[in-house]
Amino acid sequence: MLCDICQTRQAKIFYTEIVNGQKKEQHLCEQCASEHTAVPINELLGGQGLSAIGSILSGIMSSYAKDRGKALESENRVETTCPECGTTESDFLKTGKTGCPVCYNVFRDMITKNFKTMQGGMTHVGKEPSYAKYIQIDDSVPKQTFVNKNLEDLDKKLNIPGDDEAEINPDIKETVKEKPKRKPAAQKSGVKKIGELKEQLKHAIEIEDYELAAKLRDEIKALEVKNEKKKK
Amino acid sequence: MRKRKNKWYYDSKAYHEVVLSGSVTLARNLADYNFPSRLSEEDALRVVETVRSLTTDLGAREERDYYSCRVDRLSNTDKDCLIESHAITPSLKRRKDPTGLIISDDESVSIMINDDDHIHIRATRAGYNLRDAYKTANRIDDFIDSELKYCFSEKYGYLTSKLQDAGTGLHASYMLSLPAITMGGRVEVLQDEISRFDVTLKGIYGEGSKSAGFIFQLLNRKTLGVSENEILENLEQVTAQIVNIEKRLRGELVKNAGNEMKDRVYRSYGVLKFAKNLPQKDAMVLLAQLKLGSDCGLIKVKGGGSEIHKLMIEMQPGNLQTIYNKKSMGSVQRDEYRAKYLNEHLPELIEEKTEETEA
Ligand SMILES: [Zn+2]
Ligand SMILES: [Zn+2]
Repeated sequence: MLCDICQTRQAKIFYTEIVNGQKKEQHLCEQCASEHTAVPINELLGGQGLSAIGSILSGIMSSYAKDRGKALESENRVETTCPECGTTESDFLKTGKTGCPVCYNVFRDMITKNFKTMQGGMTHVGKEPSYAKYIQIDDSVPKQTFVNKNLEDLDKKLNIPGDDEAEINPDIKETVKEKPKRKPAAQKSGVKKIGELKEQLKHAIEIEDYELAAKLRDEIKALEVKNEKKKK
Repeated sequence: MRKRKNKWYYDSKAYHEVVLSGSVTLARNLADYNFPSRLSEEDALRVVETVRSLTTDLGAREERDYYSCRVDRLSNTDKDCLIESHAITPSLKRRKDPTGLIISDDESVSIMINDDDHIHIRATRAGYNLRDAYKTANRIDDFIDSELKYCFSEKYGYLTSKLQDAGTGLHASYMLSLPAITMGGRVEVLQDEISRFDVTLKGIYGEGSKSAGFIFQLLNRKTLGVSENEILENLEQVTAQIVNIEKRLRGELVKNAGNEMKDRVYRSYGVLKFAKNLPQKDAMVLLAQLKLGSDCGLIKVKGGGSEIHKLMIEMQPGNLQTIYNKKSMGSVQRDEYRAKYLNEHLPELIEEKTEETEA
């Protein structure tokens, strides 16, 4: 039997839930079950066996089912959709995949919930790229954007010219900023490093980070002096 | 028959009785493109070509031959071959949009383009050698980072399509050969026990706790909030425990049922040497029993366990079709070719001479 949620994996967890006075059988795979439970499913399975799962799961599941029910109930309800790549809430729930960096802001609440149960922490600790596009994900970013299909149609009917950029929530777009990393990558050959620093300097000036620009300028100078000495 | 190039799994010096290989995959996405599942065909092609353009420079830096190709244009046989040596994932094979691959001549390093993310850097080493694999993957990551622009968040690290890859984007794994734990019926207990250490143990030829060749993959579950070093260290610690248990149980097997096992091992050798039709599942079990016998010193074959591991990989469908240079094989024909291949390539027996002199 396939899992009720993802419809792709084998269902391994069975339990009965009462929704609106009606008995409803749930069949879930381990992965989907853990994604909607506060306690990792493996611990549950290792501990009390299957009997204990129902009670813990049902609370979370029923709120999840309610949400989904609501979404399906009224056709007029506009689904949360990523303005950048078009991934909808149900796409995201079904596949567990984001479609682009902006999705991380659009589906922020669900992602936070997932990370709380599935991951080792809420913040990245580890390697950082030397030069990357930095995406800002936090509460200062306006959270969700609704693409109202009905409104879109209306616009077309009334022949209101659609501005592509405007349809994409400008607040979210704006949060995708580029900034050079503060610590430039080390252990590269002198010449290459100067080139990279110069790139970063140009960028720092562009984004008006003059403090960083000054630091970079000093570093470039120091390196150029060092290279001169080497040549002699 | 085609001559085969040297592959990473030919490294007999690195052979370990329990740990067959270690591999590390780093997931990365480029800035300014949607992730592959939401990429237009045009953009997907652009990503493939952008990454592929690094091939020559990468080869020069790594002092190895690197090749690149469009995976969506390869034949199914070629794709299967790459899956069998763990160079690409089955999910890359299934994708219809433009996908690409950069691969080293020995297939120990592969860069998969447009799987779930734009870039999956994978490095594999034979034996108990995850750190080396990580070093290689990390070095290649540094190189790509210096040439292309990744997308990154200070909060969630390398942004990936799947939430279970977020943060470091690092999945490290060991392929483990666990015949004694399997025969002792302890796989499920072990799976439960180790899950609290945030690792998963799964059978790779078959499902769940059943794996035809007693081969299991152990991999980290968490990628965010843990550093690369913590991930590797944790996996290594759990692996060390499993290796101890497996070795202890092998010792008990030999002590309690040595003669019975020896008979089974020699029977396996006989079937592999002379059978004329061998389905993959059967061949996998027979090879695994032979490998166990060789590891425990119940049988001596030329080249030892490393040779047997090599056969486990090369008797799989993609490799067989490539070795015998066939565009396609029916299942009966394939089982016959498999038998032929194993008959001819089974390592020679090194006979024991002690018995006669004793008698
Ligand atoms: Zn599921
Ligand atoms: Zn998106």
